[in-house]
Amino acid sequence: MSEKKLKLKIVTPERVLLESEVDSLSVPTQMGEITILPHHIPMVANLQPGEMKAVTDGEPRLMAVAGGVIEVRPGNEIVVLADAAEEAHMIDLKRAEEARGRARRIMSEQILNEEEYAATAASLEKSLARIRVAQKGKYRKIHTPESIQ
Amino acid sequence: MPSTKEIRRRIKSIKSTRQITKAMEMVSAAKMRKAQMQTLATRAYAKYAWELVQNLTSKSDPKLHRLLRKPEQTNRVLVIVMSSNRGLIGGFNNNIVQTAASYAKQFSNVDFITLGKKGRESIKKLSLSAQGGPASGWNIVADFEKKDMASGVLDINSVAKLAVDDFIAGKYDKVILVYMDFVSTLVQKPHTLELLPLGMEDETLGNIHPHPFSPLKPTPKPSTVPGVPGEGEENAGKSGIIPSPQGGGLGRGDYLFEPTVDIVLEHVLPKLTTMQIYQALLETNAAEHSARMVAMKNATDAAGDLVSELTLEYNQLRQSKITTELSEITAGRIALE
Repeated sequence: MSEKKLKLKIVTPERVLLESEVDSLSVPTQMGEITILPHHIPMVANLQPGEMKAVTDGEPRLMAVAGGVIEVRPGNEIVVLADAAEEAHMIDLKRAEEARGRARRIMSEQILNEEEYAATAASLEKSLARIRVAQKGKYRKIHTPESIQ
Repeated sequence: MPSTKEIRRRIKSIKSTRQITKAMEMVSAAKMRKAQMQTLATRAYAKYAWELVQNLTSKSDPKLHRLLRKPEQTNRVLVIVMSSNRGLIGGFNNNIVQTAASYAKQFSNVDFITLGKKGRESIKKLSLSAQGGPASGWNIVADFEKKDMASGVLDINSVAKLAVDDFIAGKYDKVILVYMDFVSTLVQKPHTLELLPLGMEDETLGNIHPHPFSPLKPTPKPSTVPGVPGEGEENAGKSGIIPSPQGGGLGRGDYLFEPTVDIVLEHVLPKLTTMQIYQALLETNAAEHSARMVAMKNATDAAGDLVSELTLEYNQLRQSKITTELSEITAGRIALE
């Protein structure tokens, strides 16, 4: 593979989460998880709540994403317009767990109309994704070579 | 010549006014800081969202989505006007309403959606007082409450939904957004933005961002403006991109859509429209608080000047009074001797 890197930008309505060069990016789309490598053709895809992984020099960075759009532009440029996104170490696991509990409870206890059900299901999915990413991030923190040294 | 007592009274009243304007200045300064931060934080998102719209519209067929469809004639126009709720803000609201009015004059049938009390009142007044004039066909179809501080995209979801739904239903041929663009604390510019149909080649649209202190360097225009063969397309040609088979009816497009064009556009376009309206709201808020802070600062300064002027006058008057009195007493004494 050539020296080419991907110019990645992850932006949310609140801030620019990440702006750097990466080797690859894995994102959860509606069609399933895809990994984008340099020289990808221009593409637009819908994102689903899940985990996003950006790899730079073999070093992965985990992020939770709550849906949005990914745009792969010509010239190895990637723009992720996320509704919300967080890096693994920024996630408050306790809050995420609470959110999951809340969403589960609402879904099991209350009778919801279609729209409410969809909204709650989406928020459940989002909190699940955050928990997953946070836990993985924790695991990595303990076992990365740097932390052992 | 006013008496010393009257001057004293005036000084006192000006001083208390100055206290009020000073307090308002400080309140606005605090709000301004927050609003400016919000605005700058969202600019990145709005910018990339807008570039995405531009890229999509330049490469996809307008027939693919109703939000892209350009009408042959523009008869019915919806104007969304953002203004402030309160006054004491200089020419802020006046500028916005003037801009909206001069735009709306071009069309016979104009409906308004207003955010903010002042704009609503001015437009109502304009349409009521215009007898047979251009403003007589104006209507305010909806008015939304505007908070001093935007708390999230939820604030304008209903506005965006109304605009998008009515546009899709064919009720309007065009949706225009009039708002105050926040350039800096001292400079605010009223802007008209052609929101729908998406992808209008409008100069003002790109102008949301190129501010001197914006965290983002304004990107070179050619790559984002449709119709201009920019960098992006050149690169695409060089790397030998094959038009995607899933692109379906996309004759000129070489974007790959996942899952399909329809689903992606259905998902993306309304959302990006909403984001544009939200960004405009944030810009207006930041501009409002900045303008009010500057207006109040000017008022405070002017009051200070007035006080020192009056104090000088008061002292002169007092001095001359004492001098007269003294000379009277001395003259009286001399007369007695």
